[in-house]
Amino acid sequence: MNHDEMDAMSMIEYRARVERAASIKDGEAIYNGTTEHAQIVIEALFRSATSCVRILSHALNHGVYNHPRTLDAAEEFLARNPNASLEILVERNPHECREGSEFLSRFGKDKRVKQLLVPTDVQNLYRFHFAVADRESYRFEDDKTRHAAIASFGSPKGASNLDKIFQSLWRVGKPFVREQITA
Amino acid sequence: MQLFGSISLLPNLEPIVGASLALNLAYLNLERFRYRSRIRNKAAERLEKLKEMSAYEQIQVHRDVTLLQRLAELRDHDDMGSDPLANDVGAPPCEDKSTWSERCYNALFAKHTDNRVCIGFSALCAILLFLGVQHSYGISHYTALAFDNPSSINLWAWTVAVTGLWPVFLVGIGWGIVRSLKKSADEAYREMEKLQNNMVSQATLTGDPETVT
Repeated sequence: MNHDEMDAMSMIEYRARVERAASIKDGEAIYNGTTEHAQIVIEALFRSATSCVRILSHALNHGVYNHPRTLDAAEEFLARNPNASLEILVERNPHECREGSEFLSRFGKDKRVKQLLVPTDVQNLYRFHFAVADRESYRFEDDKTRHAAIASFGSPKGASNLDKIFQSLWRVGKPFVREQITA
Repeated sequence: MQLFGSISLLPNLEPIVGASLALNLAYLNLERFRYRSRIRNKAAERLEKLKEMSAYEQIQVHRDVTLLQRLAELRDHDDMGSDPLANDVGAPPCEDKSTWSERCYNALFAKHTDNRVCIGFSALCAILLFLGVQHSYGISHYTALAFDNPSSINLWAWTVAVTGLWPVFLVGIGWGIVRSLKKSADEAYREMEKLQNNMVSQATLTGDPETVT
């Protein structure tokens, strides 16, 4: 087995572990240190969510949010529940840096998907990024300059705290320049 | 050839001596029994996983993590062609509160005591086999003195048993240390899990966003 095959195998194992945690929702902590890990966790958050997903990100990382599996999972999440909502806070307009532009192009016109920009001054009030689903599951990057993060499915205590932080930031968020959305 | 009219022990011991020699040589030469490398690699592998976690920096002083760090930094003298008996300068120091796995590691594997004793036992078994052949053909009278004497029967039987059981004992201990490393890593993992969960539930903004804007 070569190195690539070993990597592929470990990704398969990681995906199986994340999917198991997302279905059991017992609060087990799952660690992730790469973009591939992040993609698997975000996809699982969308697949396990029923009503609300909130994301605080730099600019919706291309490898995570524009990945076909993430796009499909987000689409399924919105299709499952007509009252579902997806709220996104970014620090930089993804259309300017073309990071998550595909994600926003696909869902940006859906009225249930809202996105705001965090003002620069406010960005200095925290050093983390996160995504939280249904106030019970989350992916949390303690240090936004690093890829290392923790994810947990079925941890309402931590998830509620992140949800509360998100709402504080949401109140001061500013709208995007929608015209820059590219297909 | 028999002296003193007693039964010669050596021909009866030869199959056991041969098996002991085979076990010792297998331990010395087979890759899977190189517990120093296995322990070091296992420790390094588990440490690598722990390093991916953001709480790693906060837990570096944790006893289980320091054990993994020490074992992961061991030098490798197990490659073919290198001196198999070179001392391991990176061996973890035996501390007062060290665990049984550290103590066993230091006693058996750190300075290749396992291999040294195996080499000694292999040599002893080879000599016994050689003497057995001599004894069978009556070439040497000295072997008769050593092996036909009833008082030496117990001594030789136990000696041969110990030489055969030594590699088995090492395999058991090596396997036990690898298992205990897994436990240490799991313990460190759980500790980090607690830290990380606290980190999430205690995450906060350093000011009020509405007053900043």
